[in-house]
Amino acid sequence: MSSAAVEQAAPVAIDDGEFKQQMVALIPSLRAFARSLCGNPDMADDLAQEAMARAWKARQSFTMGTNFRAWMFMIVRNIFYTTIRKNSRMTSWDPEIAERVLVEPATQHVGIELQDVQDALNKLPPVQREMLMLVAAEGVSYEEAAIIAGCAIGTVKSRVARARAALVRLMDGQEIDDDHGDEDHGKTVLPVGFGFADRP
Amino acid sequence: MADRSKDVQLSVAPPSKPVRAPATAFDPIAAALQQIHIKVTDEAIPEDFMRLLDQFDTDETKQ
Repeated sequence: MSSAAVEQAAPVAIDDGEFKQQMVALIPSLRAFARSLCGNPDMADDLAQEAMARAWKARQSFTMGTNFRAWMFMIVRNIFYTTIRKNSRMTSWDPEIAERVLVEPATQHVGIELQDVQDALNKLPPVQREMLMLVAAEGVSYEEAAIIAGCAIGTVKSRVARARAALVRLMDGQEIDDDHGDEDHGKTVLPVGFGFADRP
Repeated sequence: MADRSKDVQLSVAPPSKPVRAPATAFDPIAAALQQIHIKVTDEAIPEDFMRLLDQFDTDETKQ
């Protein structure tokens, strides 16, 4: 192989300005994804900012031309699940907080009450909620969602299908069973505090 | 003299029907999820985020 070909194949680190630009463009999606994970808007913003800070520190490990969104979402997700695993003080979802998640009044525009969907969504296990929001709302492909969650595409499809079915049952006033899927972090819990002490 | 080249082209390779995604019925749940998502993405970005980005530069300068 020629030296030119080798140079071409070598990963190219993204330039700081471009990295920051991509990060800024992604902030709305980062916030939405973080909120779909932890529910609480303030906590979600803390989570998104922590992810941005860690991504900035690790920016040399990001290769230009690869999927920046997936890379960032992976960081958000890792922080969230690491935190809830480490945090011994966990509480069930607070309905008052959940109520504040939807700041605007419920609307009938889509034929169903948004508040009903939001309430049902909040009762889903995080692994199902995140997949549903990524695929159905953020428009992430099954393949990209699989990269973000570090699982098989089939697992993503299964979680989305189960989340959707559970959502319908919850909106219908039924309970969902305690089967949270294939992972140990499926329990709907809300960390009391993230304690992001290492932010720059 | 009439130009027959277009006719010949058509007879050789008739235009194929455009490939369209199968029509899907309106999905109220997906629409609601998208609305919930858009509510967040449409919010103004809090100042904290911009301060954090500025801080990146400051930290770089210090180093």
